[in-house]
Amino acid sequence: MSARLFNRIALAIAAVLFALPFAFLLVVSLAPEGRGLADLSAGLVEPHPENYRLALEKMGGFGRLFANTLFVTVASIVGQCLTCSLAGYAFARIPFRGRDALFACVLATMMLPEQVTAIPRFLLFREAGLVDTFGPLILPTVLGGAPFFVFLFRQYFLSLPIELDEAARLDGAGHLRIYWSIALPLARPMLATVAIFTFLGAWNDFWTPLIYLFSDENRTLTLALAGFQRSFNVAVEFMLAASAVVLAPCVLVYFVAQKVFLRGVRVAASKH
Amino acid sequence: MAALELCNVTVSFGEHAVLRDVSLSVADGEFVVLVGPSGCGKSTLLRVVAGLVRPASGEVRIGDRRVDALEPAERDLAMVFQNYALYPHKTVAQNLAFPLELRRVPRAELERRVRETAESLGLADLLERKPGALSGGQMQRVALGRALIRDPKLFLFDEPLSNLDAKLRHEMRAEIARLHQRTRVTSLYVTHDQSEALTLGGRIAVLDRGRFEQIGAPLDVFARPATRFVAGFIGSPAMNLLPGVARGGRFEVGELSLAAPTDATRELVLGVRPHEVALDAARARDVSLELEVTFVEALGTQTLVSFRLGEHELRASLDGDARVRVGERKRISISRSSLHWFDQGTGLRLD
Repeated sequence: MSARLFNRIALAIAAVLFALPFAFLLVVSLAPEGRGLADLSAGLVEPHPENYRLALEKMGGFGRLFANTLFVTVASIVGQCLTCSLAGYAFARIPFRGRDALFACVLATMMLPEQVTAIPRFLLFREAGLVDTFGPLILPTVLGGAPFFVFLFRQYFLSLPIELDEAARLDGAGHLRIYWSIALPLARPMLATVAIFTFLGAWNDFWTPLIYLFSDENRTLTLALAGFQRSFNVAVEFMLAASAVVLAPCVLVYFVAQKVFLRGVRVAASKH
Repeated sequence: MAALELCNVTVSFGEHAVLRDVSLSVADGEFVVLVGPSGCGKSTLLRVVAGLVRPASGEVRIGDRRVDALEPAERDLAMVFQNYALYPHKTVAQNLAFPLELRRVPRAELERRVRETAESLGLADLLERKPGALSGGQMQRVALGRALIRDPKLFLFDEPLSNLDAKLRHEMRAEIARLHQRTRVTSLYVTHDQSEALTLGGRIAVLDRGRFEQIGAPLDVFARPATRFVAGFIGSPAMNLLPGVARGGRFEVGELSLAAPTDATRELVLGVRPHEVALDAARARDVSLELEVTFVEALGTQTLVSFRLGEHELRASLDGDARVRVGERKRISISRSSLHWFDQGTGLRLD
């Protein structure tokens, strides 16, 4: 009993610690311009919800920013789910010469920090004429550029009984058909996990858009948020209001998909 | 429908030869059971026929076509798996329809065949269920249905009943026998259960360590096992196999001494089926001696009694309640005509 109580107290403290920045964000975002940081109670005593409308106006073309971000995110999710599961299926189920060595290479790329490959990758995309397009943000996901997800899918497909593949082969299905009609529908939990991780990654990505996107009409939400910091004339209240808006979909997705998300974390933890 | 022919098939996994130079012909419409202990290669043989395993050498023919280079789907055969291998995300109807969809069968015909197959197997009420909501017996019926619906030339069964409980196993066994009588599709059936083999097979093929030990009608194999291995494997309770030496025309093992089938000095194995050992008074053609009872298992319709015979054990299967107790000495008799002799070195039957 006392151990349980202790756990609860410890968890409550941790929850408060994690919730504090969010609370701070919300409270300050509602405060009158220029007073949020000086007086934390200002936002509670005298809330200014119009901060949000003003903040979005100051961001400049919120609709465009939102659409850009949504496009990149959805394309990444589709690309990631499709290509990583295809690659995972091949590594799990199609025997070919050098498969295991190739898989080891795929895994080895996980060791490289993104920063190391940033410059060569930039040069490649510049050669391809794709700088300042969404190509560099989306193409890597469509090309199965997430070795960890490839690994997750492979492990998942390996855990499916081989007799299912064999039965389908006898029924007249080829690899692609087995992948599409049998393996992929059965991998739904894995697809959800990958989709959520990809959503969070793509939605919050700042680094890649910062490198590749220059023109105003291509900017994403994270770039616009950072723009606030550079302009000295925007008050912190508006910056935090805009942050809250950008953050909202992530929080929403998290609540909707909480179970899947936690399962994904568990899978990731146990497979590492 | 078609005949099946396997010629000198060899399969190795790495260094380990799973099938060595195996040949078998199955006539059109025949039901052949491959039986053997686990690891004997029987499932591998089935998968060679299915096209799931490529043999290192040898030929596979279905009908008049050589199929060893063909994909499984091109061989026009259906397989029923031990774990059913139903697609868990598809309903029973979708499971049955899948092979037809892949063959681009028109919608109306597809629905008609799904309905007919489901009705013939008593699955009509389950069509909208998913496999997870079915019992083992129902799942196996769906698996049978998915094999049947395509009207294949050849049926392959890979231990289809071993995941079912004893009662269901008997029911499904009868169902598979009826199915074969009705459709007359050439069938190859793998099992490790010798009683299943004896009751189902038109012929049985006993496999051990990648080779056929004997192929024949079930009762012939039971009555005249060709090797020591077959003698011990087919029949339940298992045949008593008593190794000893034949010298000067006599064979001795423990207290038992009887005329040997040979005058030469030779190491032999004497085989006696438990049900051939009797407690009645001996007749002239019988071997007879008194032995100590070491163990009794009463099974209701029969009693299994173990006797000490030197350092060996002789088991007898007696009808009903034999009323013997451990420690008693009993006179037993064995008809000479029921003795089986095998060579200890080669394991081959003598006569």
